[in-house]
Amino acid sequence: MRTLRIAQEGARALAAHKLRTFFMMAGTIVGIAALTVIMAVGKGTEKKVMKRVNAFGTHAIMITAGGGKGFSPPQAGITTLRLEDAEAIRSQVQGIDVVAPFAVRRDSSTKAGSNQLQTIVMAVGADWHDAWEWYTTDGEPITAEDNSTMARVCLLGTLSASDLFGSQNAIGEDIQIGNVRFKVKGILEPRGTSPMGDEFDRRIVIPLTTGMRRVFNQDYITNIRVTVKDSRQIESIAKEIRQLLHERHHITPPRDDDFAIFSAADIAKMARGISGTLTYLLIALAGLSLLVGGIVLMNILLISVGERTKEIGLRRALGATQGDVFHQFLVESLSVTILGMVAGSVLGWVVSITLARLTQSPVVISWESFALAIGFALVVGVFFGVQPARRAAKLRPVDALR
Amino acid sequence: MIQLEKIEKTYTAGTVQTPVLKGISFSIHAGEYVAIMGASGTGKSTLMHILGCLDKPTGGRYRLDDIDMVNLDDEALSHLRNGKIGFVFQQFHLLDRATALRNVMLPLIYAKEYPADAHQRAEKALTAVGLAERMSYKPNQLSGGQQQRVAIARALITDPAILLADEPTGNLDSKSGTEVMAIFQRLHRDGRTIILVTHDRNVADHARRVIVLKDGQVAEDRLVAQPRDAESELAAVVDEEVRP
Ligand SMILES: Nc1ncnc2c1ncn2[C@@H]1O[C@H](COP(=O)(O)OP(=O)(O)O)[C@@H](O)[C@H]1O
Ligand SMILES: [Mg+2]
Repeated sequence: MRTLRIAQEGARALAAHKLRTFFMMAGTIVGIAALTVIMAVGKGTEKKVMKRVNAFGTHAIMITAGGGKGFSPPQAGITTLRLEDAEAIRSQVQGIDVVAPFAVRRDSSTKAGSNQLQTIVMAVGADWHDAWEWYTTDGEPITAEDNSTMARVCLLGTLSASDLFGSQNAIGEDIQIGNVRFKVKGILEPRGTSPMGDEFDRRIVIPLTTGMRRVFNQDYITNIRVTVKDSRQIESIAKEIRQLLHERHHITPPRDDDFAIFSAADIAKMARGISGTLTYLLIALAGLSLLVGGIVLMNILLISVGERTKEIGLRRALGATQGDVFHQFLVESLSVTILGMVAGSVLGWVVSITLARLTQSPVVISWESFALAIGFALVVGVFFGVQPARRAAKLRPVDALR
Repeated sequence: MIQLEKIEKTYTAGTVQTPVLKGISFSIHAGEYVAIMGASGTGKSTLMHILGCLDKPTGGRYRLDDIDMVNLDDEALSHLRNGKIGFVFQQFHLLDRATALRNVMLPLIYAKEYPADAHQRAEKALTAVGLAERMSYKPNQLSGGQQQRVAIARALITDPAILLADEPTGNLDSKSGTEVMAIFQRLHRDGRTIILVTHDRNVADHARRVIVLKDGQVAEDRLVAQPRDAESELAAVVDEEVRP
C-alpha cells in the first residue's frame, strides 16, 4: 500500500510536468516504434520468403542445364546434362529422397481444335510427381509404364486446360504438341506462380521418354529435381551434387560450370534480398534510439533531481525513507518508458500498416513485438532510472532543505 | 520528553573544522512552549535539525521520548520524524504544483498506516488554520501568511508530539507573523509541545520559556514572566486599521 501511494506521488510529479515528461518519453517512443516496424516488416518478409520457399519446395534442390547466375531457365544448346547424371546422383549421394530428371521446352506450340497455346512443356519421369509433391486432381498421373511404352499421353495445368478447352472436360480429348498428337489423361492440382514468376498452372506435362524421342528429339535433359530427406542437410547435399557433376562433366575451377544448382536455401536468400541488411540497419537504429532515449531520460531525471532537491528534502523531513525516494524516482522513470512504449507501439503499428499499403508488401503485426517492447521499456526504465533514483535517495535531508 | 546532554556539532569541510554547538544541555517537558533564541549564525537551525532528527550531533546524547536517537539508523529516523515531529520552515517548503489540501496530506503518504479519513483530516486541519475556503488553491495563489498556515496544517496532520518551527515568521509581514503566533499559542493551550526558533526577541516573547544560545552554548534559560498575547496584539492591529 505504501508502495502504491509512493507510485502515485511519482505519477503526480509526471503529470505536473507534462513537457518534461514528454521529452523523457521521446526516445522510447521512437525506439519502440522503430522496433515495432522492423518486427512487422521482418515478419512480413519472412512470410513472403516462406511462401516462395514453399512454392519451390522446402526440401528441393534444382539442377539446371547451363551455367549462369540467378535462378534462371535452362540454357538452350547445353547438351551435357544427362539421364546418367541423375542416375549417378541417385546412387552416390546420401540423404536423398527422390531424383527426378526432366526436360523442359518453353514456347512449345500446342493446340486443341482451333485453340492454340504457346507454353512450357515438361517431359517427366514417374517420380516427378513425388519430387514436386504435385499430383492430379482429375484423371491419372504420369506412370513408369507411360515412360517405358513412350506413351503419347499428357497432363494439363488448370490454366492450360481452360485455354485449350474452355470449360469443357479435357480428359480423354486429344491435343497436339508440335506435330505429335497426345491424349489428355489428367488435370494437375493448381499450384499458383513459380518463384520465377510464371504460371505453374499453364504447363503441359508428358512422359520423359516420349518428350525426348518424339517431341524434342534430344538425348539430353534440362533439369534434375532432387529432394532431400532432411532439409537441414540441403546445403551440404547441394555441394556434394556440385562436386559429383564437376567430376562427371570434367570441370575444374577456371572453367565455368555447365549447370546451375539451386536449393530451397538459395531461394530463401534471394527472396530476403536486401531486406536482410535493411533489417539490421533498422535494428541498429532502434537500438540506438533506445540507448540515446535512455541517456536523455537519465539526464533529465538527474537534472530534475537537482531541481527538486528541496522537494526531496521536504519529503524526507516529512518521513520519507531513502527507499521511498528511490522508489518514487524509479516509478517516474518506469512510467515514462512504459507510456513511451505504448505510444511507440501504436505509432509503430500505424507506420507498419501505412507502409504495407504504400509498398504492397506484406507486414505482420505480432504480439511478440509488443512483448519485446514491454521488455525493452522495463529494461531501459530500470537501467537508466536507477542512478538518478539512487542520487535522489542519497541526498541528506538537511542539505536538501537549506 | 526531550533531553539534550552536551550536544556538540562540528561541521567539517575538507580540513577546516567549524564547531557550531559546543555542549548544549537542556530538557523540555511535554506541553512546554519554548523559544530558542540567538543571533544569526549561532547554530539555532543546526540545533533544530538535530532536535528534528534531520541531522545527527557529533557528540553528546539526545533522547526523545526515552529513545536514544543517536543510535537509530536512517530509516528509523524517517519513521520517527513522520510520527513524532511536525516541521514548520521559514521558506514554507510547499509543493508548488499541489493544492493546499494535497500539501497537507503529504505526510500521511509516508505514515505507517494511511488513515481512511485522510481527506477529512486534512480538511479539518486547514479549517483549523482558517483556510477552509482555500483548500484547492495552489501555493502561488496564496499569500505568504496563508502558505505558512498551510505548512502548519501539514505539520499537525500526523498529530505529532512536537512542533518544530524554524523562524516561522521570518518571511512574513508583522500581521501574518502575529497570526502564526496566535495559532501557536492556541496549540500550546491545547497541550501541544512547541519549540520555536527565532532571532527576534519580540517573537520569542510569545513563548513560556526562552533558551538563548551564544557561541554554541546555552547562555540563558529562563521562563517568560509575562508572555505576549498574540490574540490581543492582533485585535490592536485590527483596531488600528479600523480607526479613521
Ligand atoms: N553544512 C554546513 N557546513 C558548514 N558550516 C555550516 C553548515 N551548516 C551551517 N554551518 C555554519 O554553522 C553556523 C550556524 O548555522 P545555523 O545553524 O544555520 O545558524 P542560525 O540558524 O542560528 O542562523 C553558521 O556559521 C553556518 O555557516
Ligand atoms: Mg537559521
